[in-house]
Amino acid sequence: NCYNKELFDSLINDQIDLGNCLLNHQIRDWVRGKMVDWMIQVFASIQSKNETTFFRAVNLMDVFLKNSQNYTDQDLYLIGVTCIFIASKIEDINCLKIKTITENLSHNKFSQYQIKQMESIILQTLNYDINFPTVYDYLQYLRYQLFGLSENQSVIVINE
Amino acid sequence: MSQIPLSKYHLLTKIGQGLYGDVYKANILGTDQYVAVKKIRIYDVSVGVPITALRETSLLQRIQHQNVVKILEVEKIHGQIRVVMEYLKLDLQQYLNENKDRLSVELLKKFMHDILSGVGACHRLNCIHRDIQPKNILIQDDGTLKIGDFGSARVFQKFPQFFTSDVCDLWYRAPELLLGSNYYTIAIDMWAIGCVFAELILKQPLFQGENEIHQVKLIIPNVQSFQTVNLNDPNLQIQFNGIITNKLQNLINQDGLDLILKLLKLDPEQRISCSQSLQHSFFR
Repeated sequence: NCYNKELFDSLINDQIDLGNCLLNHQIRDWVRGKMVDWMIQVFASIQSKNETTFFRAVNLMDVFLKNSQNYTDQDLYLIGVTCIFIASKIEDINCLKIKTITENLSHNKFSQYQIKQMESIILQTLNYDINFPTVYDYLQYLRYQLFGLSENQSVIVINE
Repeated sequence: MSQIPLSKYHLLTKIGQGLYGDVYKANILGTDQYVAVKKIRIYDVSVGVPITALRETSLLQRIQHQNVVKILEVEKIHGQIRVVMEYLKLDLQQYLNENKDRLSVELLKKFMHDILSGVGACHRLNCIHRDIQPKNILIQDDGTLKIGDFGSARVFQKFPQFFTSDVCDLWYRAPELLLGSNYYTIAIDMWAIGCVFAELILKQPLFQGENEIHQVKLIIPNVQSFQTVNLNDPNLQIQFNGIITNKLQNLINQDGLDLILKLLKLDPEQRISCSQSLQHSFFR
């Protein structure tokens, strides 16, 4: 692909600093960690074939936290669930329905209304700029630089 | 009793129907500046903000380029989402319908340069437009073309990924999509650009299939079976080049014809990219 150089430049330029994303909140580090952990379980349980959705969900959550303030441990669950919802719409061919989110993922802890409201808060906070490159894009780029386009080479190297 | 203005924009007339809602011409209150406002219709409550709207706004926020339509802001009024964009009154399809004369080579060069630059800006950000056609290319008063309608666009990864093959308007759909491939790349946009280029010359769409099978037959006339078509078969390409050359021979110079043939490669791997196209001798 002839765009590698330009793509890499744009990846570098669009890099977002996600460090200290909990700075303005009453959210403890390990609670965020648990949230990410839970997201991994969710994507495993729905047998998602699209890794990009998980990475987008986590990055969305962090970028949102970085740009907002005064949320607490209790709020994080709703934020995380909603980020999965938005990420799925961006990345998946058949996106997760809001009903699946409320019933299967969060076991009726939230109403559809709450999810939609949080969605609109997140989208407005980020000014709809939610298609930024995620960790996955950087990993893909590095993998491409190291192993080229062959799908299996990285696996071969690791096996060796 | 005076009412507090809700929106910064005053809707004037409905100018179109987008994928996810009506589009209005509007002016910024207190000025005579026009904008286009897309009201997002939430018809499926089970998805919240519609996917097409989400993808279009988030991608347009990323792609800032003079040949891509600009998004000004996203406004939320009483629970309704409105996407405010720059207003362009004409699209390429209307332009072609209104101007019966053939386009000069200079104008062709300018139009193609704008289209390739705009789509190139998307491709650089790893975004496939997936719906390039004259209707989605807008014309500014000074003649600059801008790519619009990113409702079908999406970001892709380096490796060919599994996507839905039901994208692109039929007449502009690349052969690999017509043959049902779910793995495709930015090359599908390049095919569509090739079709638009030919249309600018012919003043009518290049391949006007009635359905998918007919569309394939226009591109590969003696197709036996859809399963066995091998797009990188050199003989197939030679035959196809013959069709294109026949249609366009006396209407465009050699350089232009060569660029079209490179855009309309049957094999997506061999199709030229935007940045390569812009280096082509046609633009010199």
